[in-house]
Amino acid sequence: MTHTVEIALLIAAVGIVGIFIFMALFYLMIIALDKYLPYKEEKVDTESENRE
Amino acid sequence: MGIEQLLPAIAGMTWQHLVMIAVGGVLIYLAIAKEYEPTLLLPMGFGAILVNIPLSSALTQIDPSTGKAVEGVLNVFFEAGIATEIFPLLIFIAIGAMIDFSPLFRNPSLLLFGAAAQFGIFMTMLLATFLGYDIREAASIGIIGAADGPTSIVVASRFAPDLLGPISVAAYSYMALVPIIQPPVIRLLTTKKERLIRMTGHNNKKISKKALIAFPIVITIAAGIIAPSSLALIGFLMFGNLIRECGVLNKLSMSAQNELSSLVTILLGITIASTMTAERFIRLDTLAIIALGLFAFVFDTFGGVIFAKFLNLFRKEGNKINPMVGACGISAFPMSARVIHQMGQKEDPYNYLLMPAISANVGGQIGSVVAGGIILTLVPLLA
Repeated sequence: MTHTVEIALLIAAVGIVGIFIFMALFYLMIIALDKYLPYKEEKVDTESENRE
Repeated sequence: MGIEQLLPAIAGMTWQHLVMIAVGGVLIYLAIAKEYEPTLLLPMGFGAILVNIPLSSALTQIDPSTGKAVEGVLNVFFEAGIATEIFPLLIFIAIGAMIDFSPLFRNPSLLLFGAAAQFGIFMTMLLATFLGYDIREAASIGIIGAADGPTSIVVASRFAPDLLGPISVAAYSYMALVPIIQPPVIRLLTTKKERLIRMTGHNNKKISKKALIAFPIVITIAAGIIAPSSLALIGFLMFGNLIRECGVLNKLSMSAQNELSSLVTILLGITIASTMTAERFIRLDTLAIIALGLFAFVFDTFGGVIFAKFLNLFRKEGNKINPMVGACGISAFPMSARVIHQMGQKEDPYNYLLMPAISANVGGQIGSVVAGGIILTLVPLLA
């Protein structure tokens, strides 16, 4: 096995693990954003509408 | 007066130039008749013709009377837009403005397929080193598997500018050929029973505007802290997305999605063609790169499908993932999602895989950029 192939193997191993770590982190961020910034129905100002 | 003086272009024409002009014609044909990525393949095809007519003023030439170089416009564009990475990064702003990340919020676990389906990049890089390419060239060839043209251009222009032409042609051609490449690989790796799996999820869940605005900012900060080298790629993508989601820059968002995208795409396509000269393109390397590109796409699909099957080992009946959805973890959006949805409908007309497929496909758009950033970080660090 040449030195280049060894480096390629190392980059492949670190790269694949790295992508999964990144994506897992993004996954956790999405979960956190969804939890702490949940969707809320926009309140319609019915009082002012009735006054009009 | 001989023909050399009267028509120097004809006198300087070789069979290699003629082959390249034919290649340009084929790219234009594929763009117009088959509608294969016409926005890129048409400018590249026309550019290939433009740069393969001997003494073309579109390229830098030496003036025989003065001995000085007369700069060609395509070389100027190349130095200004590709060598500096400005064109692909501007495209990222446009792509960011086009992406709706809400499907990821509905099915966040499918984001992981955006990682699994980058498998082809690294397998191809390994294979390329076995074939004798150095690590920088191998990484540039492998990144074809990102199925993401601008990422391929950024990586190749930095690590192997000489291979930029064939890498770009391979990347964009295979992106257009996803409906032909993916189905047979998926059928080979899955059983009929697996292809019939129905997926239920929170397909109609509403996502808060605040979360969608915070997402690109949070991702940029996180990516920047972990891998600052990836920040140009991810940051520009997320900047485009922030313009889209903020709600106060609708005009800029539309401009990024339309005018910016169109203008830069025209310049990008024709400028890449400046590297498609006969001397640089007609080599065994080109055929090898095109073959390796196909290998990358096949192994991306393999990675996504096999990862889905692996996850299914730990999931209960009724909550399993249709392994075909794993194949959508590539960046070719929305083509891959559409292909998988159609494959699912062919097996069972009542199986609607579009929403999970889109979620995985959006994950692939992020995954390909992350993969590009990781390659840009690791290669100089370890090579």
